[in-house]
Amino acid sequence: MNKPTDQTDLSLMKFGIGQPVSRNEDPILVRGEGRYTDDVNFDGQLYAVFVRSPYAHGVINGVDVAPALEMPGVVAAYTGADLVAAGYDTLKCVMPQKQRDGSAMIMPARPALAVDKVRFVGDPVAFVVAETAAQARDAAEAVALDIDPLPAVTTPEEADQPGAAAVYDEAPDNCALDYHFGETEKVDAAFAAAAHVTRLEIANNRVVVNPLEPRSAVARFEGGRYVLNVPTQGVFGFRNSLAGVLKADTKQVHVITGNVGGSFGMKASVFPEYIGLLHAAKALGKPVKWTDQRSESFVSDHHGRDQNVTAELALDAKGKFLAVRISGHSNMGAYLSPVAPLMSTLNIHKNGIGTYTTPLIQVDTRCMFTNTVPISAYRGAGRPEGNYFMERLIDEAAREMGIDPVSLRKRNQIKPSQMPYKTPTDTVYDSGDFTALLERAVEAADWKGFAQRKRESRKKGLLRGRGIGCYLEVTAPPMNEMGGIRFDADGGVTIITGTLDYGQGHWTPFAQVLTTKLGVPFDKIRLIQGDSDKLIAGGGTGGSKSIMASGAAISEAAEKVIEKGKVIASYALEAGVEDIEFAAGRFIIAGTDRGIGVMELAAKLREGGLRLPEDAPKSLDVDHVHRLSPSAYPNGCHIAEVEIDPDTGVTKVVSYVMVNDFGTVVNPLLVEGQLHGGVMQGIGQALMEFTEYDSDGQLVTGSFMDYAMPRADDTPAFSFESRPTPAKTNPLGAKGCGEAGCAGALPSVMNAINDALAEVGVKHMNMPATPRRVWEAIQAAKASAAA
Amino acid sequence: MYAFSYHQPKTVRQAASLLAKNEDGKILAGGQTLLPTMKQRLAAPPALIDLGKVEGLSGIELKGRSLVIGATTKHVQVATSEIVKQAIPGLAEMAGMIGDPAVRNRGTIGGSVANNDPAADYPAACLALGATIITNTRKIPAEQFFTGLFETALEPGEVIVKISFPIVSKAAYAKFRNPASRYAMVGVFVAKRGSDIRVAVTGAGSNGVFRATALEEALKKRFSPKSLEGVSVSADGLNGDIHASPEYRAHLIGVMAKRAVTAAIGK
Amino acid sequence: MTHSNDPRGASRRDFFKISASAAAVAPVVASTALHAQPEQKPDPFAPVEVDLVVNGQRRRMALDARTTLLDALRRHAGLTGAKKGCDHGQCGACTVHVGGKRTLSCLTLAVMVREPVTTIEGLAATDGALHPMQQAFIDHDAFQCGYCTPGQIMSAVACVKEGHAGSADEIREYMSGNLCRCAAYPHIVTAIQQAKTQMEG
Repeated sequence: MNKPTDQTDLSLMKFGIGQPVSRNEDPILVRGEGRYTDDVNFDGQLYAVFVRSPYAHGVINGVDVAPALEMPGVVAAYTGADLVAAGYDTLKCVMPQKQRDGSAMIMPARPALAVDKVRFVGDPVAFVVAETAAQARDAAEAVALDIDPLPAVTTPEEADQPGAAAVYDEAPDNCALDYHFGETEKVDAAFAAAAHVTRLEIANNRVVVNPLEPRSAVARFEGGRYVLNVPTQGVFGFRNSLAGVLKADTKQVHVITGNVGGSFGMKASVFPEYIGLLHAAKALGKPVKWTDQRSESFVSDHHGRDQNVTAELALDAKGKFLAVRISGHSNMGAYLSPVAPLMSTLNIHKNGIGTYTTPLIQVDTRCMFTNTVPISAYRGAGRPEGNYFMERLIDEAAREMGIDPVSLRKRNQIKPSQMPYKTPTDTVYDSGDFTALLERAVEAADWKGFAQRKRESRKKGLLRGRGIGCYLEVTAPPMNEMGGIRFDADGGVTIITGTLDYGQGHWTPFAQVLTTKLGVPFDKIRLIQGDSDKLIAGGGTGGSKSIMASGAAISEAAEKVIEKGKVIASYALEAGVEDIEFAAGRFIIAGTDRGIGVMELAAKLREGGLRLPEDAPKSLDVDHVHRLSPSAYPNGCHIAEVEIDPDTGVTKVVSYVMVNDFGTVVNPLLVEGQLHGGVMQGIGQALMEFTEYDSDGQLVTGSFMDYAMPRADDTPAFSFESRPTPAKTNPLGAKGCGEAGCAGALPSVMNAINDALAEVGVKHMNMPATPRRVWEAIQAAKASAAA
Repeated sequence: MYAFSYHQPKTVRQAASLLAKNEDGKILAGGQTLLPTMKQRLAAPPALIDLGKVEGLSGIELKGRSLVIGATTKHVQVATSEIVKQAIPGLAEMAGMIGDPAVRNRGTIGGSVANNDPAADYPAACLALGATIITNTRKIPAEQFFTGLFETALEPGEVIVKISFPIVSKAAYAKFRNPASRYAMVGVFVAKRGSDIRVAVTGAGSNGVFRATALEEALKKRFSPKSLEGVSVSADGLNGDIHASPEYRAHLIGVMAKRAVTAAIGK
Repeated sequence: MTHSNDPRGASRRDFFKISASAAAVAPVVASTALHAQPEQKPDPFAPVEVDLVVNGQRRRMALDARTTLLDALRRHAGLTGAKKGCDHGQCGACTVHVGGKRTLSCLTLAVMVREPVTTIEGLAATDGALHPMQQAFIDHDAFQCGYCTPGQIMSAVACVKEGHAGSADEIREYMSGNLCRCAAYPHIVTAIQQAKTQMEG
């Protein structure tokens, strides 16, 4: 009965919080046995292919599916009119922001299939269902579209010009939201009084998300319920949104997510295709499957970023930051995605403050409709951008004022003694030692040895630059997250939670939390996350919050298990409940060596070996919901060094140093991987990724032949360090790391590029620093020097 | 991909006859450029004639002062062949730069040359080295073979059998990869055989591969990267797209030519 | 304006516009050429016989000639390990070995394949023991979402066998055909270095 406790200790040494445990799902995935949605098939399933608008803007006169219905194997074809007749609701923006004057933003309805107008190339207008995917594809081409093209607008600035084509009648000036934050008079006064003002025109280039797994779904209608296998970022909220559009009770909708091949924010949304598929499955009484082709993914998955701003920083003579002002346009695309305005409005001022004492911040964003793919969250969702704008301003101000960029940052950073620190953007920082991280990064990057390295680069004919990115992110607040714990019949323990892993590897760190809190063996722990029928709540994954949300939910649920367990153990051990203590996975009678392990207690309950009175709990199982924690503030300092070949314009990131504060790190192995991924996506946006539309609104960068993605040989030498200060805002003390890499990379890489190019007279290089753009910037600088 | 009829001839003669019989039919060798084009439904050949079962089309041999490479020889074979590395090391290196390793395992020299993609690498090598394209009916000098974008001198029913490269004293290829596709955005192959110096450029010309005569003239004075300093390449007739303007491409031709000459001298 | 949604019409070509790539300016064939005079020509829709040896097991199937090796594996042989990332040979997620050489199964018609095929499912030993490369990917956390991983691992095994794992830089170059949006590249490189020692040891 008495298991030696040091075995639990040993297990904690291997699998507890803080250990670099490899992931439980990995042996499955490396064998090719993952179950991604396209790997799921049902007997008798049919295949759908969507017909998409070839025009960026136009009036639909008619969609004739009759020719498609005559093609071999075709079972059915549907248009927007069919879905309207079925009475579904439209797809909704769920995070609207208020206009400058306090009124509501303009939120046009989006039907699942376009009905009156098409608004971007790729806008779905119909779909065909056939016995094979090839037949459906052939038939989709036979659908005849009668569309009168209209002029298109693709950039938010163009959309804001008088006389620009209006994407919606209800927004004749194309402006969905004229957003304002900040105390204008005070900000104006600060700028007027400033000894120095730095001003930059900064582009935040549109990116295509491009998870390697294309979107896919299999729809069924079974037992009066809609059932959808689909990649998501959390099935609970997704199920609710889907039920809303279907006008069905949430109980009538079942969402199942297996493995997800990357998402980065994109797959969180309910997309139009899913409504069509469920409609067809119900109408036809058969499973209907759809998998996007990559060429369609480019025009049907939400894109990310796309904002252009004028960023200004006011400083006093000593370099003290007085105010920051960011104003400009952001692109919403043709329809509002569920989170559409968040990234370019609220998240800019929340994250733009960063690690600094800047007392005033103003953000003005005109969120514009255009005839382009809708914009949604992409890794960081405004957090990297807010940090990027500020950090670029700081480096530029340092150069203009002749102040060392490290010293300028230190002068303005919030000190640990100032915690808790209330910012001018309604956040309260609980912890962090920003200057210590900066100093450590400077040391790790051998800041002092840079001059020598620059000389060596010059000998090879290369320009060398270095750049700092001190970032601080405001994570999404953990909210309504389920922590379910089940002691299973086979002796396993199942965690049920509503965050969802699309590559993060949640199973292992969540099991580490549970094994630490409850002492159940790590290898007995399973995770259920992707089945909406199993959840009573779920906030989903997004905004770098999963470890805080599910970690808190699991920790609190473990406390509840312990409470119940004490009562049950008191009967098992024949002692008073007040004498039962819990430690290291065991309930013991205080002051004795008599006790029972939690797993043993669960086994006894299962086997009916305990006689319990009526009012005692009959199982250790717990359904708990963590209601709310404040945001956390992950932060750090990244330093990049680049070499630029002025002959070709090619930029290489040659070294990349990271010092991060993620509070309590549950699994350092996985955190390092998250950082590599975030940084490389940042390097992608900074060096190569861009999205271009031609004047007709056709996507020019519509395949991997034209859209550059970071590859293995774009990877710099990385150095990774953790300098945590545990958060005070959640039970684990974690701060979240999923988006931090991007927030560090955009500023550090671009500051390094601008440092290198300053030598040849380039004033401000915007993203993306493609070879062509770098070469052209150098030529322009040479020409203006010669003039 | 649209439906097509599929044929597996056993001999070149059968292949040629099938090609002649099936109007708009296509030869399928490695398939590394034909199949993606068909998948995008941009090409719809009604018949595919797979050379996979035709014997004797693959192989590398020295014949006198020439290196002869069979049409279905894969890029990886050329890249790793000791014969090629000895005879024309620059050609082996070029083959090792095509696409990625998986593409090189299936893509063939004959397919690349017959396709004449304006961003492919082999056409530059053929033109600079003065190769002869040998078909089932005749021998075509490279100069006459590449006639335009995806256009060649091949007649209907004509099948490439092998390609013969005269052995040169110095040769090398320098490639500036398109940042997205990794095809040549500018690729320059330089070759020196006695006083005959040729510089062929791929990826840049709006009409496909071409010889940069201004650079050839400069190199005739002295085969050295220094000879190319100050020699400018005209942007006229060069491609402009989202990745590079004609001016940028013109500049890169000069840079890549210098790098190719430097590499050639080092061999 | 009414137009057929046929991609061979100009507007749909714009939809899939590509600059400077092979496909962009490929010859476009009139649709009438497709099914002309069927009585004289073989029926293009008739199944062709495909005879594959996959992971040591012979599989004979009658397939549409258009079927790629990737679709034959995923849809007809029930082997879903190889993934479809782009279906155009630009991402590497579908990489398998044909005759021991890494091959893009999406750019290979099943009917063209005459050598034995090894997929990720056939990489582990028959007793289930992981291949050293699979184990190294686990040890070094060399992936996140796992979608590109089967292709990465098949490429990585080939990279070592080809002798292209001599240095980190060489590995990066010879793995550059396999995209990983999660960008686990640094850990992929260390995993390959570990596996190389074991594969060659």
